[in-house]
Amino acid sequence: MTSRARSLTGRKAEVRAALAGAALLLLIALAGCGSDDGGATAGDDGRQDTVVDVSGTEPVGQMVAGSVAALVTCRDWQGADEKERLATIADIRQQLAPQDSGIELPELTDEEAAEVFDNSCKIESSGGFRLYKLYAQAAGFVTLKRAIEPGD
Amino acid sequence: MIRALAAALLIAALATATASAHLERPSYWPDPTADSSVSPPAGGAVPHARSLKSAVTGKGPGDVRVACKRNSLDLALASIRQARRAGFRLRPSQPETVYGKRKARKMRRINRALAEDCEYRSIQAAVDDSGNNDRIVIMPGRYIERKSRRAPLNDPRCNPSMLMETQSGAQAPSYEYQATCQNDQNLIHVTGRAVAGDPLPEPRPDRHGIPEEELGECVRCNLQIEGSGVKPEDVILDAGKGYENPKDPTARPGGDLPASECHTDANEPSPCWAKHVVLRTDRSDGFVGRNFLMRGAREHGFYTEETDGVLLDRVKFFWNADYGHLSFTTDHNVVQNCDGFGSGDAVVYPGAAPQTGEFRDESFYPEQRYNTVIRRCDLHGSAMGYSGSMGNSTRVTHNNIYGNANGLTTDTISAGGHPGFPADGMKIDHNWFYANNLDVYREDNPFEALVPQPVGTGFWWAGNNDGNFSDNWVFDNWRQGTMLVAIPDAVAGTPEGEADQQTQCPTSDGSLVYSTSCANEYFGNHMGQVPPGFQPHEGLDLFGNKTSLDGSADTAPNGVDFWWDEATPNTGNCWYDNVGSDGTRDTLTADPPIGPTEGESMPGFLPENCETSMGSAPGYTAKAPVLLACYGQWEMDSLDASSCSWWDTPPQPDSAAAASQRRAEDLLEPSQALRDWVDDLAGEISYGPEG
Repeated sequence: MTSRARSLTGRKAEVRAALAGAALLLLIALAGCGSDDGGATAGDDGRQDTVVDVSGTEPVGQMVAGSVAALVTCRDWQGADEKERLATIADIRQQLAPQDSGIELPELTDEEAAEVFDNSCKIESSGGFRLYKLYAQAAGFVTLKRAIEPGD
Repeated sequence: MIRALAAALLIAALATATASAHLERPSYWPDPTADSSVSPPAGGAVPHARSLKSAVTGKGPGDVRVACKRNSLDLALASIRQARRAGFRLRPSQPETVYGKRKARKMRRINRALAEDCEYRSIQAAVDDSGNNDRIVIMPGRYIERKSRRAPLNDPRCNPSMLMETQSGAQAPSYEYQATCQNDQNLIHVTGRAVAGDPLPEPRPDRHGIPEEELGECVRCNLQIEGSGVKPEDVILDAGKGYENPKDPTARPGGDLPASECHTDANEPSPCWAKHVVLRTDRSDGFVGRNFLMRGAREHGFYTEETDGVLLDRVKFFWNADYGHLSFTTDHNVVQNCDGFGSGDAVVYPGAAPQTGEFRDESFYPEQRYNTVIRRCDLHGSAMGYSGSMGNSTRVTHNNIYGNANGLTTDTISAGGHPGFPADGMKIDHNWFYANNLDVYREDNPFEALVPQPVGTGFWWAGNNDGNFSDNWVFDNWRQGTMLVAIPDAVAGTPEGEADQQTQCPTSDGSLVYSTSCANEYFGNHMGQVPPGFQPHEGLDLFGNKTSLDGSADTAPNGVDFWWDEATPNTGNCWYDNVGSDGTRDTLTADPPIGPTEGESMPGFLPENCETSMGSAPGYTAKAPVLLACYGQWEMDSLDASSCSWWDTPPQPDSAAAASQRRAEDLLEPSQALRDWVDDLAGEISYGPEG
């Protein structure tokens, strides 16, 4: 530890007090996300996904141990039909949707996930991008997106 | 309220693109104490490699099994001759090693003796016959493991009956799956412990210790696998196919096929890869791998999980499509003298490393220590040289990291199966980060990038706490030398297992809302300066990487030396005692700029006093549009994206083109909607004294 070593102890109380309010705001906001709409799950928030029966439809991409989530890429997405795409989204969502409590990351609706994949996968040289990584990234944006485009 | 939350999310969500995590079964950090049920005990420390000579003399514990090809001895003798006459390079950045007479004679003697003892053509067969303390010596040659290649993916013997439930409720292969169908995904698999019982119905939140119910006894602990050649390339463990010249260690799977044609779906065999992993070792405490090359995996070259005690020495990772090396929930872990390129994610990835840092569980980890060390490696020619989600208390030291899109990235994104939130205690010291300008997004790149990265970046920390970045040389990275970005917990996702009860961020007490990106220190670094004695070397311009390093200059500026997002809630981040291209503080470049007074933290400038460092609302606000434009374009058409230049190699710093690009970014105008969000952020999330 150098002479410049951190010594935040004296400052912690002051900072903590200043932060408490903001932290509370965030907690309330988080709680709000969950309480009003049941946790911002796919199809919630008043967003109407078109109901498509995908029962019996396999997701696209290489299946490894019961899931395509780890390996499915933009290239697979581009070659899929609508049902396959929905089945693929469902597979990825299940892999990335933690069930136990903690800090909740919103899930994307089918439409939102499809938009993310469509937009990301039309970029040149994006063929190898893993969809689950794009999904996880987009989940951080989705609250913003919903607010900017409330009618979506 | 929701808007305030979302504003916070949006900035930090930018960093989620650094997430390079992979999906895995629920994993536990192994008991860090030695397992004395075997003798010598397994784990508890980084294992020592036994000498090659002792494989012949029989000194030491365990049986020796030798694997070879028909022409192995000829190959060994030729390689020894070559080493005697012309030498070889263990890593592209290092000088040649030339064998003396004695060394050459000794190696000939050893290899002749090994040839007489050779009983195996298959490494997997030798592994299967091995037990605790045994060792396998592989003589020079290319090992494609025909039987393993024939083993089916998603073997019905194991799938779905041996899948287990993950934290998300999804399915993943259990330990039993890997142990039973070991070549389902892997070319070579080392099952370190017996299968004892079923995994827990639900993962245990506390990830300290593999649950007793499923932890079997050591069956292949303290196993050593090593090549007997002069250099790692003499022994090729090969999961690839379709080479033009498979005997050339640098040959690319698929030959000249475009990278896009390597990827096929499950029903169609890939023309480039036969297996997903070259060598996987699972719960293999005390494992030593030395002196071989792992090449051509659909996913990873080397993969170890839930292991206590691993040493990889003199190993190479070429053309593995995801990661060259991947260690996961593994302790007492060292990778050294390595070299790798051709990965769509990173050459090395120590993920979910144990919580052995400041706020560890002292009943489980009595000593604060680095649990993983990556040293003396050339990490190059990939999307990233190093990445590692939840890479707690890892040390990266004395490496050459060059010719990637981004040299080194760690993140605290809690991808499925990654315990250890938030990541902390990383030390990055005495490395050279240079010329990380590889455009991996161009159409003819020979491998496919798996993730978006800002091309031209030396080092990016996304959400780490209590980090130490010191005594590094960072030069010729055309976008930025280093980058520090905050990640709020809400963006990091749901932690796998229990999150730390205490973190270095003051906000974390009780709420755990903003518990990352605090207390990171940068000091003693040389920025934009070429180290004395540096010479351009092979591999620097691999795959068309751009560099100004032609040996003629002693300076090579970065686009900007230090870049910080100035996230308002973060404290304790500081940059001090660093020097720029002329060896003084005066020539450092930074965003926010270097302050007028050395050693102080002043609003609007890069903090140099750790005790008083805090983020800045105006600074955070100003950076949001460009960042968001860059990442937003991948996600939402509605965001401004026209001025983002991150996906191409930037112009050389100090050039007219670089100045022009900066002007364009300065003029970037966010939409009103975005401006509103950013304003919300500055207004509602303001912490402490206004920055």
